[in-house]
Amino acid sequence: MKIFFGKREVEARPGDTIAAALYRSGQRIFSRSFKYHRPRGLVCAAGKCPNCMMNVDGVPNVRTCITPVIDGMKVKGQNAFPSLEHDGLSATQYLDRLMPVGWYYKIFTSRTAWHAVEPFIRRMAGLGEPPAVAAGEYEHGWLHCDVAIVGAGYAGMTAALEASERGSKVTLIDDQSEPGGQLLYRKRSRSGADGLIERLKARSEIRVLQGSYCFGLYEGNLLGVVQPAQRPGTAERLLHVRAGHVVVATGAYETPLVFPNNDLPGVMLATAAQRLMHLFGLQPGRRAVIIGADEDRVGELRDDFREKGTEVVAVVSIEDVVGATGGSEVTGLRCRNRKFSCDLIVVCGPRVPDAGLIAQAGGKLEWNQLQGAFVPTALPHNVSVVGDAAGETISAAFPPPAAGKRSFVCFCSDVSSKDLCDGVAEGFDHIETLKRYTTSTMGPCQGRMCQLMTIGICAQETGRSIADTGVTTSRPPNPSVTLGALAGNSHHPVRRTPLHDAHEELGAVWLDMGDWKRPRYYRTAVATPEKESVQGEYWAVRERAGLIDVSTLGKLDVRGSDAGRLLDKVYTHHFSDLRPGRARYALMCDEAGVILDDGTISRLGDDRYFVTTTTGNLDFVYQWLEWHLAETSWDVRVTNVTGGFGAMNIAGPKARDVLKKLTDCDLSPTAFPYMACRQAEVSGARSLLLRVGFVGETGWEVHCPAEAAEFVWGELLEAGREFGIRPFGIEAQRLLRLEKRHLIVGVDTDALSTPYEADMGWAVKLDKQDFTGKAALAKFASAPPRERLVGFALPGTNVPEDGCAVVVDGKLAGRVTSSRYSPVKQMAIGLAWVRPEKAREGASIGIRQSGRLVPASVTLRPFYDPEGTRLRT
Amino acid sequence: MLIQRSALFYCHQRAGAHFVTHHGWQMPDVFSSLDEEVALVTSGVGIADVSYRIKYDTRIQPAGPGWSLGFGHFLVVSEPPLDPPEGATDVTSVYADLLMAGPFSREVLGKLSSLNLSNESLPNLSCVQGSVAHVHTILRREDLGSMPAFHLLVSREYAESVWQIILQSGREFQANPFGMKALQSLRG
Repeated sequence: MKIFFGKREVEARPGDTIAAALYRSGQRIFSRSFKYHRPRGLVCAAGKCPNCMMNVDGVPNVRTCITPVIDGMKVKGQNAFPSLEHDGLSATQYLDRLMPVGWYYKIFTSRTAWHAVEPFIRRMAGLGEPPAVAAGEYEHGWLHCDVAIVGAGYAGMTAALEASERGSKVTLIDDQSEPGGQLLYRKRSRSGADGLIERLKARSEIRVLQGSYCFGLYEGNLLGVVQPAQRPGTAERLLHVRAGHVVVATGAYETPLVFPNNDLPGVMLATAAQRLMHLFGLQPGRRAVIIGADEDRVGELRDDFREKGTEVVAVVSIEDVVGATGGSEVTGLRCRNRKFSCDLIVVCGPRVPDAGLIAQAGGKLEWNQLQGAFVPTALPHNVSVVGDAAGETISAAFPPPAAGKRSFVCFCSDVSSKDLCDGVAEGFDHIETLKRYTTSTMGPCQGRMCQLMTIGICAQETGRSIADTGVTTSRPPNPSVTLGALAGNSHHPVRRTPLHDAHEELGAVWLDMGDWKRPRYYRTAVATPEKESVQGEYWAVRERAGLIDVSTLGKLDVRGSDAGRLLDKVYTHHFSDLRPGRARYALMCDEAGVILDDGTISRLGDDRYFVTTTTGNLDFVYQWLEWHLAETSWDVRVTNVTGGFGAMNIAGPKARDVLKKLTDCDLSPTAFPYMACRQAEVSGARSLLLRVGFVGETGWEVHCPAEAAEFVWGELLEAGREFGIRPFGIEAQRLLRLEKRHLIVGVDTDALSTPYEADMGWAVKLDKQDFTGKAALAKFASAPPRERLVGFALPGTNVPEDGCAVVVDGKLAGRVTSSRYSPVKQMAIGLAWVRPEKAREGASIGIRQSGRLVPASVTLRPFYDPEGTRLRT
Repeated sequence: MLIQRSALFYCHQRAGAHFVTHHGWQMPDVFSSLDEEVALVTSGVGIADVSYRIKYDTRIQPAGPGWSLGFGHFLVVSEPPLDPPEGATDVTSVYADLLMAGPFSREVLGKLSSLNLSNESLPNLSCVQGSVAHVHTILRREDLGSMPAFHLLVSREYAESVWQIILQSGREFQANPFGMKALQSLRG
């Protein structure tokens, strides 16, 4: 296998991670540090530290030490100018006097200064470039199990086998490519673990997610898990794992020691050296110095190095260390008495229980002086912690950190022990404020490498104990997650009416209304501009016939002996006295008398009503009705039948002539008057006909079964051809209704509008017994209104935009809610909220339009057919 | 003559379906070939449109296999012809009925829904409601022999969206639509 590293081709072996392949090829510098651009090499080789992050196939910040090689991968370094080996910006470390801890709070005190340098700082202190295109298709998934175990080390595997043998459904989540944890690279840990890995692999009931990391443990035992790409073309998959019980077996990780130049490439953790040797067959260096005091541990390392042919030059204790030497790689270690020449410094650092998930879930971490670690004490319900994560085998004295500006505590953001001491001296002596001020523990490693040392230094400098200093808060994600994985796929549900493809065929230009797609207008020839198309559709309705798809209207089937009673309660008009075969305008208000929704209600039978709602409020109205029913024992059933009906409104002086060709229903004005409803067949489809008139012409709403809607639509257009029928869209409909001064709830009304102010007092029947909003409405009926919704007209073709201010006597006095150019009036018309004193016929108001004040006159009557004769003929 | 089409008619047409009139509805009979469709379902996952089935919403415990939607609230779904009883609300047109079948159908649904579809939580012939691909769905397990199969009832206007998302999410299992012929063959 091969990968491409910059311009270099690098051979890789099966089982290699990217970092292992690069290390074998001689690569020692893996990244440049965030602030000073110091060279950085492998430190943990376990995905815990920030040092190996690179750009892989366009994705930044990939932890290459745990990412398996795929043939042909393109890998490059990041945040280095021009290259990882030679980074000119590393000169910044010699300017460190100018960049003390918290330097930009101190230097950039004026806004202009900050804005001037911000782009440079952002570029210099980057963490890679965001990808130009998504790495592939991100997916989400859900998984349910009895027991979820995080970490497949000795403790995790044992727990998984035990739980599975007891009959539980087990999911085991592990961030390495093979189960085993330290059994795979530490020989001495293997006693008593014989055959454990094989037993786990043999037990197929256990679902093992390798290469997957758990970044969060949330309420109700929900685990956020990121799985690597499952197939070509896809990116990571985020799994929501819901478990009855969670076992945290994340183990412990080793952390660095603090001494001058402890960040040089070639200084690595003992576990990292062991990983390189045992997992990938690498020789980490030729001449090694071990810093460590534990004899067992040092003996183990000596054995490993002997096997690999690495000479152990010396074993020293941290107290004796003066500092590492070297430029781009380590060349030696200076101790108090002597100096050693070496190319590898192996650090046996303190081991820290990986208990971040416990803390996230609400567990407590307490300092245990004997173990030298924060260990979980109070565990959340149904969460347990086993193995090293519980602090079982941890015993380490706290190692003294060396002071110095090149003794790094936080590798993520180049925070040295001196910076932390300075932070405390400046008064940030609480661990949480020190964290925020220095940004230590806030980098991509999420404090894993530096938390313990930061707390130790804070304790030392303030003279408090570590227990009193406390631990910084651990939050998800732990570790970092890509935004793509969190966002998941771009599935967005779309609602299509049964006539969608028919509209497409007719050249519909679409308008998104919530999730719905509706034709805004129809393009008759490709070049026809919107204005002409809309005018054409408008005149067809006014002079001949038009057909519009209104299937998006909410439709509810309300039945039962108490159906009328329910509608009387939630709507402002009477409905229990509505005769079967009649329809009525319906207005819904809340307890405060504010308009919630409107529509029509038709009575289809003694115990059956058909309710329409506005497109956007269906779900709300349905729940509102159900909510009002919940406290009663009434015989009412409300069924949402919106999707079941295709609905179309045929309107215009010729509408009757068109429709009667397709139905036996008597459509004459006397047999089928305005605001009546009939059930009849239209083109053979059982339909409900409603004679309503939103657009102000003779017209019917035809509601037919959705599966037949396309057929009926086609038949209507065909039958209307001889009369010049045209399909019309939302834009023409909005213009037509505006000429009739019909309001649209939510467009012309807002969260404060009441029926009386909106000139809809006629739809409120205060003589009804009780209904929602009655008390408030009764008050409004007699009180002077705060403002009124009126019509306005202004000469010319300049149409004010929705939301334009109404100005009277130089003061703001209202706002425009809808406005269009009226072809019949040949002037701009609209609806506006104005002060009550201006709500009279002919009153003059000013409308501010593009900075100019334009005079307009108020009207309280419809602009078109004010008597409504066209509607009723 | 009245033409009745499911919400997915044009979807099927674009996928090259050959149509057949089934109880008055134009339904896809075959997409590629009977054998190929059956093979894809039995080895991976397939999805069929059975929206023509009669559905009604009722508060009276039905005699046959009802889908329980809540306390005293049932949905009855049946092959036509069937006249809904007095008092029931006919919702045949309201819901598109998508049948997902195949050994990997649970895996595909697991990518689109947080519902627990395990054997213990959703035994055969039981019903659950929740969100699938961000759309409210009534889901009922109706295994075809030993092969897991799920009916997904979504409001008709969402059908095309859900259909496409299922096919897209099922690509790794070679998800494909199957027609009435393959369905009859799978039902045995």
